[in-house]
Order: sequence, then structure tokens, then C-alpha cells
Amino acid sequence: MGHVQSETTEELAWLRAENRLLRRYLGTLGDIALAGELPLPDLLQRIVEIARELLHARYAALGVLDGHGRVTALYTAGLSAEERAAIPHLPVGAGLLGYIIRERRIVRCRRIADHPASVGFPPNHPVMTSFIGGPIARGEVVYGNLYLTDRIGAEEFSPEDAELLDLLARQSAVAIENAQRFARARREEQTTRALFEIGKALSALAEPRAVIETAVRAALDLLGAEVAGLALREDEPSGAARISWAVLRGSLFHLREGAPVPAGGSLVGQVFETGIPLVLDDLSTRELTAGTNPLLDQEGIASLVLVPLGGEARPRGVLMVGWRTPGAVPDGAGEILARLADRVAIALAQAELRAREQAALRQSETERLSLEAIFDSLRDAIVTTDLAERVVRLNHQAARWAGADVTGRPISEVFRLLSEKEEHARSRAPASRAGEDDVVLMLPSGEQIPVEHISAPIRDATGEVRGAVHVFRDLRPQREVEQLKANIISLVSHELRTPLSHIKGYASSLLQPDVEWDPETQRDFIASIERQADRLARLISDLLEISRLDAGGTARLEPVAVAPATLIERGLRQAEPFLGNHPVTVDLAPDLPLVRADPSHLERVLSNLVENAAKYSPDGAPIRISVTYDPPQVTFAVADRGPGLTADEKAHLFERFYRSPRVKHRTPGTGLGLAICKEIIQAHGGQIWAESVEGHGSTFRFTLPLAD
Amino acid sequence: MTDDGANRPVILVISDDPEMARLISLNLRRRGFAVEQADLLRTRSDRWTPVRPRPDLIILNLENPERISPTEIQDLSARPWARAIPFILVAESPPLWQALANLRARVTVMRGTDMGAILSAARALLQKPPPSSPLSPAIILPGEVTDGPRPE
Repeated sequence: MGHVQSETTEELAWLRAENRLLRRYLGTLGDIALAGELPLPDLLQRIVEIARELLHARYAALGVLDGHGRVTALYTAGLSAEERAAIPHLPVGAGLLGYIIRERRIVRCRRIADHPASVGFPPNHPVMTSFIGGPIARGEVVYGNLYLTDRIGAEEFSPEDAELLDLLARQSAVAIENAQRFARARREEQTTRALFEIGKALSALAEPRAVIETAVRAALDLLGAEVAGLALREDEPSGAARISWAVLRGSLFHLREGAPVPAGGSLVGQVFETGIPLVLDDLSTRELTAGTNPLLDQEGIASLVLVPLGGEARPRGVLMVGWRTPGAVPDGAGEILARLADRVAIALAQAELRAREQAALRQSETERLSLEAIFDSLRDAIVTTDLAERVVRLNHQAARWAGADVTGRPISEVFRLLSEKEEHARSRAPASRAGEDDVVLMLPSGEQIPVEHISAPIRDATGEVRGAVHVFRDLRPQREVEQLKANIISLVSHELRTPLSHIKGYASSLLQPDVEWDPETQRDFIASIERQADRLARLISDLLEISRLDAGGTARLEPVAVAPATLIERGLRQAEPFLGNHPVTVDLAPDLPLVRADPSHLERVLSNLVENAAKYSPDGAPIRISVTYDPPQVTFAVADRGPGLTADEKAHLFERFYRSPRVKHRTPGTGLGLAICKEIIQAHGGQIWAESVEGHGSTFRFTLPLAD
Repeated sequence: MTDDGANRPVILVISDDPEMARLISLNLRRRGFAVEQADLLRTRSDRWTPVRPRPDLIILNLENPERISPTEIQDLSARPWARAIPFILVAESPPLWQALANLRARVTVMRGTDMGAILSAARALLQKPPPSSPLSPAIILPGEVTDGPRPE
């Protein structure tokens, strides 16, 4: 009874254990159904452990194959960590394990070594005796194998064990298949999401080059490749085509532009030619003509995918990813790369279009800015108007004349055209006809400006008149020049003619045979001739001097250190013949420093100022010359007691050919003397100016720098 | 300024250049003419007023002919007191020559201050009786007014 009880207790314990095992097994079955929720490695590990327990084996193992029949993962139960670590490599399928896969049937034997397919164990492998193993297969697909060794409690595995193994192997196949399907679905989802993000990123890029770089980088990342590249075909105007290679290896990006399009002998050339993708998992199995695939050789690529970019008929480019090991091409790589290529082709086309638009816009903007710069830099006032003759645009000069924002106002209100031609100008339809007029323009300020008015219609691309452009050319500068020219001609001709007339008059008087002039009169006549000859000589000298100054003659100055007193002495000597009855006093400040001056030029300045003082002062009025030291310069002054200068005279005194209206018909002169003085003093680095109160004489001052 | 001597021809010298006026006057006086001088600048406001005694000849010397317009010359010439008086115009100004020649018959225009030529012209004009018509041909001194106008 006790024995019976004992047996019953053991049996109960065994049943409970079996029950637990079955519950675990059933739980695992549920997980298998949902394979993918649980990580596949965990699930396979549970299967192998359950198998060992259900089949009462010391050891159990489950090998997972890749698409090429290679074992990529091995799950074991019963092996200690040390034993597992001692196994040198995964089973390669050369022996019994390969046999059950090839034969696709369960193999059961008492001693492994006795089976004909057995090749023995690798070194350090635990010794195993009985064996049962079968393929993990579903339909035509073999996912791996499940095998157990060393049956506990028996010499070999039973047929019931074989049935159980078969059941577990089938469940494993379902689990692997489900997991792979789930993994594929997840990968697909991830790929789709990644492609969506890549597409979004690509379409945001404006520069074709950025698109290329992003595309190549995306291809590399998306497929876990070691090298990625994009070859783009560029059609040249000559009709020839070149390609540019953008290659990314690791994180290094290389760009090679202008290479010839490879011929069909090369793999890239083949895709360019046919537009058909190439997925080559092991290049070593393919016969390639030497030298036709330099990039592949250079990069040591062993497996690769090439897909056309932009249609099969004439691919715009070829997208490539490569690995340096054979068989590295992931499942679905060709399709993924093709999907990426579609997005790249679209993004590239968009970017190129955008780039062309940008270039056209930039060109257009540059042209617009150039025209605007020209428009605004012109001295002419330019106004454009619409068909209703309202102001649309003004250039800077026109805006200055308008004085305020006049956009939208009728042009006739802003710029009034006066003179007889005004009505003609107004009645003309500015938008439809062109014309030119010299008119007087009245500005909003009331200022009147003589202008040349040119107007022309503005037409659109169809030739229809859209408005008018009005150009107002200020004629004042031109007229000033004309006036100046007339003044110069008049002045010079008068200054030449008068002395000649006098010389002729005196000389012809002396030569008349009917009169005998007394000696004193003769001397007077000859002195007059000499004076007029001097006047002529002076005029010619002034003209030559101003011409020399214009030609950069001041550069020929030869300044030296010279005492102010010396300069005054030389100037006075020169002016002496013109002083008449004017007493001259010289007042020099004590201890005057030397100045830096060219004495011959300064002699001219001083004599000119002294002569002017004499010429424009009442007979006998004193002339005072003074020199003061005003650090860092010396100031010379020539003061007279003449009529003084008006404000207008002071403003124009140093201009060439300027002659005061008060004296120009009374006193000879060219209007060049003071202009010459100014040029000479400025060339010395000094300044010259006049101080005067009308009716109280004038003082001309100039400064000279100190000698070094 | 009026010279003495009632029987001598009186010549009025009008000039814009005092020195030249003096020289012409000196030459004329040495040849026995009574001379009067009028300064063009000083008499600008009231110029062309009748001169007494009435001159027998007017010599108008313009060193700066741009200062006077042909209209002013015509105005002077057309004054009743001056209408019958012969003119010598010494000026480098074809427009003035033309203005005067168009108006007067007895006019000599000269482009230079050759005293011999001026004296010859003066003598010639004073010796010739006044024409019956103001449109009679003017006296033109050969060789002196080659570029001047010639009445038709």
C-alpha cells in the first residue's frame, strides 16, 4: 500500500510537472500565434527549452537559417555557459544537421557517430550520444532545424518523441514565419516612414547638389550600406552627355564631375542603357570585364544594388548602394532603393527647376537693380506715368525736384511745363507719342528750370501702350558752360583787341608824314605802345599759366625753405611798374619762420595781389602788405583801400574768367589772375581768401606751410 | 570839351576808350580840326542828346563793340540833330557796320585804328557836300573797309 501510495505520489508529482510543462507549452503556442509581439529570439529560446523538457533530452538546439541556407542563429538548452562558449562556431550544415535540412525529415539515432551523415563534433564540443532532429519547415521554406541529444531515461529517442519534435518544429516554423512576416511588416512600415521623411526632406531642398547629397546619404542609411553613390547624366549643348558621381563612403562624401557616361559593359552603364535595376548579391559570381567598373574595384564592393533614376527609357541617373562583403544585400533592397530613387528623381527635378527659376530670378533681379541704379544715378529727372498721366515712379533727381511723395498725382500738377510749348506738351498724349521740347519746368517749390523734355510711350509685351516716360534734362549747366564760353571768347578777344588797337593807333600816329611830333609826345606814344605790349604779354602769360596748371603744372612746383620777406621783395619788384602813385608799406611780424614755397610762383601770386590792389584803388591810396605767424602756418595779407567787394564778387572772385560787372568795362583784365593765385596757393597746401566790407577796401590773405 | 575856332570843322569823337579818344582827338587837332569828345560810358544815361555846336563829323570809336547794340547805333544815327552828319565808325563789328550802313548814306566804317586812314576818311567826308538824299552812296575809302558793307 505504502509502495502504491509512493508510486501514486510520484505519479502525481510527474503529472503535475507534465501539467506545468504543458501549460508552458500551451502558453508558448499562444505566443507563437502572436509571434512578433514577443521578440523572436526569446520565443525560439523558450521553444528549445520546452523541447528539451518535453522530450527529456540533456541537450536541445534550434538553428535558424538565412535565405541562403546558412545558420545565422543558434538557440540551445542544457549547455552551460562555458560549454556554449567552447563551441567555436555555428554549425555550417556539413554533417547530420545539414542532412536533416536537405532531406527535410526527422532523423533519430542511438549514437550520432554511427549515422552515415555524421561528421563528428568540433573540438571542445560536449560529447553527445543519442540524437533526434528535424527540419523547421513550412511549405517549401526551411527556416532551420530543431534537434535534441542524449535522451534521459532511455538509450534513444522514441517515435513518440519524434512526433512531439515534429509538432514543436512545425510550431517553430509558424513562430519564425509569423515573426519574419511581422518583422517584414515592421520593416516595411519603417521603410515607408523613412522614405516619407526622406521625400519630405528632399522636396524641401532648393539646391540640386543638396538633393544629391541627401539622397546618397539616405540610401546609405536606409539600406545600411557601406558605400552609396549617385551618377547623374548631364546633357551638354554639344549633344554629348557627361555624368557626375556623388559617392558617400562612411561619412566621407566625394564628388567627381564631368566623367564620361560609362558604356554598357559596366554595371552602371548597363542600368543607364537599359533602365533596369540590378541587384547583385555576390559580384564574385559574375563575370565582369576588367576595368569597366572602376568605382566598384576602387571601393572593393562585393554586393550591390543599382536602380535607375527617372524612368526606364532614358534614366537621368543611377542610384547605387554597395557592401564590401558578398551576400550583404538586405531583403527588398532593390525595391526600397527604387522607391527612394523615385523620390530623388522628383526632388531633383523640382530642385533643378527651382534652381533655374532662382537663377532666372537672380538674373532678372540683377537686371532690375542695374536699371534702377542707372535710373537713379542719371542727372536727368525721369518720371513714369500711367495712362491717366499719373506719376508712377520717379528717379532720385525727379524726387528731389518734386520735394515730396507725388506718386499717384497727375504729372501736370507736379511738374508744370511753361512757355508756349506747354500746351503742345500737355495736349500730346504722353502714353502714345514720343517727342522732345525745350521748355521751362516749374517745380512744386516754384523754382523754374529750363529743361529739355523728352517723352516716350511705355508699351507692354504686346505693344499696347501702358504709360509714358518723361525725361527732363536740366539745361542750366549746359547754358552756364555756353555762357562761360561766350564770356571767355568775348573777354579774350577784347583783351587782345584793345592793346592791339592802341598799338596800331600810336604807331600809325607816329608814322604819319604830315605831322612832326615833339620828342616828349613821341616818348609818350612809345611808352603807351610798350604798356599795351606788356598787357598783351601778360594776357598770353596768364593763358599759358592756366593751361599749365590744368595740365598738372603744379606738380612741377619746386618748393624750398624761404623767408617771407624774400617772397615779398620779389613780388614787389615784379609789381613795381603797375604801382603808379600807390605807396606800399610792408609790415612783417618779428621772428617769422621760413615757409615752404616755390619763389617763382609765389612772386607771381604776390605781384598779382599787389597789382590788383593798385588797379582797383583810387590813385594814391596806400597798399599794405603784412605777414604774421599763425602756427602752424604763415599768413600773408595784401590790403587796399579800394571800393571793396560785394558778396557776389567775393563768391566768384577766384573763378576763372570772372570779372566783376562793376569794373569789367572800365578796368582791363582777364579774370585769370586770382584763379591762378588760388591754384598756386592750393598746390602749396595753403588757402587763399578775400575779406572785405563794401566801400571799405579789401584784404586778400593766403597761407603757406612752414618749411620742414 | 570844345576847341576854339569857329571856322574849323567840328568833329565829335565818341569812344568807349578814353585813351583812344585822346589819341584820335590829338591827331585831329594837329590837323586843324576842332574836336569835341564824348565819353560813351559817362554819357550812357543821356547820350545821344543834341551836341552844340553841331558837329560836322562824328567819329564813333568802339573798342568794345559788344557793349552797344545795332539798335542803339541806329537810334543815334536817326536823331534829328545827327541825321545829316557823316559818320566814321571804328569798330570790329560787322553787325554795327550793317546797322549804320542800312540807315545812312554818308558813313565810313573802319575795322582798325590806323590814324592815317581815320584822318583820310575824315577829310574826305568833310570836303564832300551833303547828298540830297540820305540814301546816296556812302563814301567808302579804298582799301580801308574791304570787309565792310557796301550800300547797293
